[in-house]
Amino acid sequence: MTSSERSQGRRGAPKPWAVITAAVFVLATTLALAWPAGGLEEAEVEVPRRRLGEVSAGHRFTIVPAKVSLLAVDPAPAFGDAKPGRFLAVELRVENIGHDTATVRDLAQDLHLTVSPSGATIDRFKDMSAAGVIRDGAHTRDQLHPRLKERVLLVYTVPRPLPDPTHLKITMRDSEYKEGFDSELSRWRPGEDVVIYDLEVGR
Amino acid sequence: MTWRRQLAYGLGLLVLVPAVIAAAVLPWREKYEVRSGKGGREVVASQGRAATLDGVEWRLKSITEGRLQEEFSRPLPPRTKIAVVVVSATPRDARASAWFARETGSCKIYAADGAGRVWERSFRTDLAPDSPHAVSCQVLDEDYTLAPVPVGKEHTIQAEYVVPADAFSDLRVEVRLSPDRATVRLAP
Amino acid sequence: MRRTLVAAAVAAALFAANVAVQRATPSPDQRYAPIASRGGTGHQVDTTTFQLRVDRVQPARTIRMTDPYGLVREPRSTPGIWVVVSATVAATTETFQAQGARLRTRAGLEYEASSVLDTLDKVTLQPGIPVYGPLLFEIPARDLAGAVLSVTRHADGAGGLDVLGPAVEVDLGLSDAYASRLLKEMPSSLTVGQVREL
Repeated sequence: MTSSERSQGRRGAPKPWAVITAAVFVLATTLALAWPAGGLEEAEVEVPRRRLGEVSAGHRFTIVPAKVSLLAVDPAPAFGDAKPGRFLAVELRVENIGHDTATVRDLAQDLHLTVSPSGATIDRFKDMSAAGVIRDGAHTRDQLHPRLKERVLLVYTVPRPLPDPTHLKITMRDSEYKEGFDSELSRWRPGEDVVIYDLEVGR
Repeated sequence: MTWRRQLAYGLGLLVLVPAVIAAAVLPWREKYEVRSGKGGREVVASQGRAATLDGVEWRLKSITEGRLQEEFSRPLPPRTKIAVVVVSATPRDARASAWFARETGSCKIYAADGAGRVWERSFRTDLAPDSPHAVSCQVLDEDYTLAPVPVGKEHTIQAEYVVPADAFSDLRVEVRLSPDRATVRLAP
Repeated sequence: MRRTLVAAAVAAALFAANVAVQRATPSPDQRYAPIASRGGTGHQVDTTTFQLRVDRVQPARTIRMTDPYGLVREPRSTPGIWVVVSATVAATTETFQAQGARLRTRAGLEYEASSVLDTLDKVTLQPGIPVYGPLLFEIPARDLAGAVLSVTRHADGAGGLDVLGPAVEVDLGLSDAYASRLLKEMPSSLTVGQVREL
């Protein structure tokens, strides 16, 4: 091809090979981007709703809420005698289905709590007063080893202006072991919501 | 392809390959130094002489053998000795004087031997009698706030170590300063 | 025509080679993982930072810890079994803490050492002063066979990953037959001794 031919080709209609290449490129790029994201189907947005005693599984934990109660005395005081107050105690059966040891704190980080009738959110860090595995009559252990089923107690204080909660909504967010924006090294990172539990608060 | 052009490609490769390797390795060097505590500036002094770093004069005052202070103390590990180290730091200018009152950064004093082994200070309180020396580079005034050391005033620090008996006769001192990334090595 | 065929074959071969290289490329987790020295029980395994020898492996249903005053504490239970690995560790040049002690099962699950006080992984080791003591793990009984002990400096996963740091991996020699014999003869309670400087 001489240079005059080339410039003519540029000015005229696009050659068939260029059209085909462009079409293949667009198609391949779309597929390459859409495939890992779960295909071209519309993503599912509906989060299942469950009740007390029903099991739910994410990538790291399976949980079964066993008991929710509002207590007037701290059931798991860190030091000394139990102080009076309003304590929301959530007992769960938990299995770590991930590949490595996790902690009760890791689990608590995945659970978002809303109480009714106020509709207020319980701060999962600030309002937490205790979190531990129930074993040998204590709640001090923190580790959740893979494939070992444990009973876990999470205790939250109910913030002062809120009325006594009668219902608790727990949304469990998934954790996935993958690389992230901050580092290409894999670790457990927050994923999608797995389940919403509608629970009655006992006394 | 003419030989001239081949030569150009060859020379280009000769420059590019080391450049690419350097670009990949050099950013790691600093990370490695920060992580490992190696690298950075170093000043060395021995036989009671002072090592000066950023206007602070460092001097090894003494390394003596200590003994357990209480009769019913937890015994020492077998074949070990207590080393009581006293180091002094004297600011020689205003900037060095203010360095003692800084709120961030650390100054850690280690015992080391000729074989390159390094020991951290012991937190046991029964290894030496109460001393008039400070325990760290920082100085607190009566209100327990950080205070500078006046220019020319000697600030002495004592630290105790439990070291293998075979290392005792060969002990020296390493002061690692962060974030300055500097090490002061003092030998008796 | 022949040239087209050759070109197509070369293109296919290059594509296959490309895929092979992509597949064979280690992941970032593998590339930055600690560098492991391997060994068996009863043998000293050396790294630049520390040396470790596994002396004994004992499973138990419950354990009782001995505190620094020599008193035996209340039994501790587990939903699985306890695995008590008695080991000797020494730091070589700098102080060292075997925080990242974990048991890896055949299925690839990683069990961090249990958060129990007064165990070997909680002690700061000084160079030249070896320490003997227990490392405690809780695992399902069926995962005892084939377990491997891995020791690094840091406890966390990739977040605190000891980039290219030293690691020791010890095959605990738990064949199917040996593991099932250990489980059959497993004591209901095992008293675990203190950490001792040697």
